[in-house]
Amino acid sequence: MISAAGLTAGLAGCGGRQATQNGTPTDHNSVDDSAPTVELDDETLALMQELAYVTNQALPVLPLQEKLAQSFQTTDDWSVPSKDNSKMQTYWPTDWLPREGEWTASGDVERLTLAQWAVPSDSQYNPWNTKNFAEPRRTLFDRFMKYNLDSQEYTGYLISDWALDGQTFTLTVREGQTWHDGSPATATDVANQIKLDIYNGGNLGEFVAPEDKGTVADRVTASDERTVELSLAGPVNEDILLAYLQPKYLAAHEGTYGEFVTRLDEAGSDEERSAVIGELASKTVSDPVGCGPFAFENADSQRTLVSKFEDHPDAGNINFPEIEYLYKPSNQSRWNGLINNETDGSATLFMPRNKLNQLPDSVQTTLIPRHWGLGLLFNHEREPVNDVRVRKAIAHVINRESVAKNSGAGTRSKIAVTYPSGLTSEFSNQVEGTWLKGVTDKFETYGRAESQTEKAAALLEDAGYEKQNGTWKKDGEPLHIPIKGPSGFSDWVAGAQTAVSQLKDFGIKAESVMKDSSTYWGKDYSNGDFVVGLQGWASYNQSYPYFHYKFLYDSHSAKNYWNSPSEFESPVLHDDLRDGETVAPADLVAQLSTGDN
Amino acid sequence: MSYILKRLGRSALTVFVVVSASFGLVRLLPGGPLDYLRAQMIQQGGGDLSAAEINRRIAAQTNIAVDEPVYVQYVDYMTSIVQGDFGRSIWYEEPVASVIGPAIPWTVFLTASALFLTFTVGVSLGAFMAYKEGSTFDVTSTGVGLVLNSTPSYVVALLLIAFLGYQFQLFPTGGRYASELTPGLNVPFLASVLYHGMLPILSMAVVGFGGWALSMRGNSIRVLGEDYLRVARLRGLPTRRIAIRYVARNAILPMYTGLMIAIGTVFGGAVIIENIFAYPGVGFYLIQAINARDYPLMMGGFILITVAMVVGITIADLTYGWLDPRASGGESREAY
Repeated sequence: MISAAGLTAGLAGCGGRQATQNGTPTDHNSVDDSAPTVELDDETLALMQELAYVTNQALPVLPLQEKLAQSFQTTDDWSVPSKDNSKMQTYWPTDWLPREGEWTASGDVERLTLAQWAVPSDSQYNPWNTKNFAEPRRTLFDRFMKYNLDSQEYTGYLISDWALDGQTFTLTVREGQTWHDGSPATATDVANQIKLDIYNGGNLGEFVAPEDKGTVADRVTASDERTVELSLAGPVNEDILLAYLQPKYLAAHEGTYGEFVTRLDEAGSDEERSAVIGELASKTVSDPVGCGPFAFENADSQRTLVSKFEDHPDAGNINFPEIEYLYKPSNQSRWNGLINNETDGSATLFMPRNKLNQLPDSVQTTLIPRHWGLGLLFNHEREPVNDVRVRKAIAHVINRESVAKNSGAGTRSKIAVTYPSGLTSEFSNQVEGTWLKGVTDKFETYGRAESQTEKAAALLEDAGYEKQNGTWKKDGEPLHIPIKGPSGFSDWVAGAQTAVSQLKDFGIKAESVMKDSSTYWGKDYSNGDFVVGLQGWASYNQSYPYFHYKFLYDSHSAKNYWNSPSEFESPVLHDDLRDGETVAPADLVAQLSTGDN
Repeated sequence: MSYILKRLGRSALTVFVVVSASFGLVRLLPGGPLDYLRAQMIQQGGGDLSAAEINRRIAAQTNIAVDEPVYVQYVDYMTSIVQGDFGRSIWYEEPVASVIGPAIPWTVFLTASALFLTFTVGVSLGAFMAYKEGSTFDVTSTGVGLVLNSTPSYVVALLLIAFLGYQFQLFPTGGRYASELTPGLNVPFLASVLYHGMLPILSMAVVGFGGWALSMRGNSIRVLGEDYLRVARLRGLPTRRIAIRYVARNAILPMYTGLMIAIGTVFGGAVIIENIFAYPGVGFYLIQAINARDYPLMMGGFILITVAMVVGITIADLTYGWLDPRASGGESREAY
């Protein structure tokens, strides 16, 4: 038995992306924040290593760097843990520290000032409407559970306790939890929240009602005031359930959403359900009834004001009466807000070196691992990258250290990946120390901080290319690698340009093709119209390796956008898990998901 | 009368052509509202949602008939705007009028104040420069006026927000008024509105007055050389009366059309400024709409700006003859 507790340092969470695209939040709809505590047995670890090895050898994607999110807190009027304190390692500090009594007013201040992306008066708080679900949600609603990076444990919050017994998962709602209108928050509300998430296509549906959403009403039930029961369709690893449940906010107030739940439960067909979901998705809730420690007061063109809710179970931990969220629609305005002491903190915000230098001493910058980062995504149906030798050659040529350095713009917020394998936690050296312990010598590093041009040349020659007049060519045609990406993600663009220049120096005709962010994601990426594309190489929402491999091998994106084949050729790491070089990684991923391992 | 009808008809035709061209052009923008929504969903961790799921959600969230051919959408759109229906914003899920309507007074406040400032300061300065023609004051002012007139307002806006807003923190860097105040006709609220509008207004005013001043100076100098002015002086009329009744009136007259055109830019004149100062006015929502490829909202903004401009020019045209009887006489009355 290998305990990986204390190892995963897992977290994900929202918002790490840098630029606001077109003035809209990228940091919204946080349905994430999670990472399970894992007790790994040998077989599970072996499975993960095998998947890591296949990824390392077949390179469906080339992981370049991992990201550390920058999080800011001012300390002159506020008392917060120091940046090295493990309490800061909770996603996000602005969510949890005030609730825990760890972010308190030390001076004579009335109000905590934070920032939000959307115009406050245009913001809304229906989580199933994907638009303008603004930052005050963090204090208006409570999350189901908390994931503590220090103890590597899930602890109860709104869901105070849980138990997996066979195929029944039982959740207990925290006592004394109250909606802002005074009514108690009950198991029915929690069940409604889970049901609405599943009806909206949430991941739990895969385990609760994989075939027919008509069964959701029977499978998610409130057995009494404080107990919710989930009947699972098959055996499931508890870590995966927790990873999906933990980040949820309870927003399903009966008075606001009850009608939708009833209609969805009673719907006779998928079409009927679609119609209700459509209505739900266009419902705008501008004056929400929440259940968090702060209640909605008002919003105008400039700020949202929320005030302390005295009936919240944690109200006693909070010694300031109000939080205001100022409208700050760009990174620049947020930088200035912190530099000029206008705002008291920012959950996550990319700030380049020259701006960090302008911060007053009272602002502390905390780095929080993000378990996610920029990678080069290969379209497996497009030449020349459908040839693994070309992908490997690219990997050898790119110096990931310098990519990370340029992408990080003088901050320490990007770390080059040492073993491109789909495993995260480079920042704490756990890839080498834990996940791949004892097998690292089998893994190819492709040169973390160097351009291994000789190896790359050998691979290209093997693939039929020849260097003529400084350019790699095959049948007279130069080796052309266009890299597409979203122009709004300035750090990614810098990283891609570094890679392009390295490839060019080596004689590959590489170019960077940056598109308007919505065109890139909405058209090029989702139509598979790219040869090499920029994308995060790990699951954006979870940190447990299962989720990364599911994303890489068994997600809609992999199958439809990158045209990833169902089978790859890769040497074998653990003989007892595979026979032969042909492997279907999705099968290995499926083995990880059941509770049998 | 027939001239007026013709002139109005031509204005209507202008609006029609501009609206039609805008309708076509906005659809040439890469990507559409659906791509934008899809991009949002993919980035929000919806990468694991199936394409069908994403498309279904998008269909549920938008009210535009994406499958209709463009010409059908065009005919539908034109028919409804004639009936006063500008459609619903895709992003805000509200009628376009309810998104733009509340923003109009704020934009008008900014642009009208800026125009008032630039015009009064510019005209007074120009007149004074004309009287002091050739003096150091005249030469310096002409230089300064030229430089400012050729400076884009957003450059001034960025400088103002960087120094007066962030560096010295003398003015707010965004918003329409302090959130604590109750909107209404009370002094603190109005003062706060003025305080918040100060930098945006200044940004436009600083670069605007130079042009008016130079025109006024040129016109005044021309008028000062006229024979009738010499006659007026010989008649012994008071200088003040000459300055105001003889010089100012005649010097301002040629600027009337320019003023009406400037009034026509009242909705479209602050698009970039509003975005720099995060000031939710018409231009602010127009940029949001462009980014989100929110066709109905974009069109609403364009139509508002176009109509205001055409109305401004038409009024200038129709009233110029009345202001300056010399210009009367049918077609030749056109002032531009």
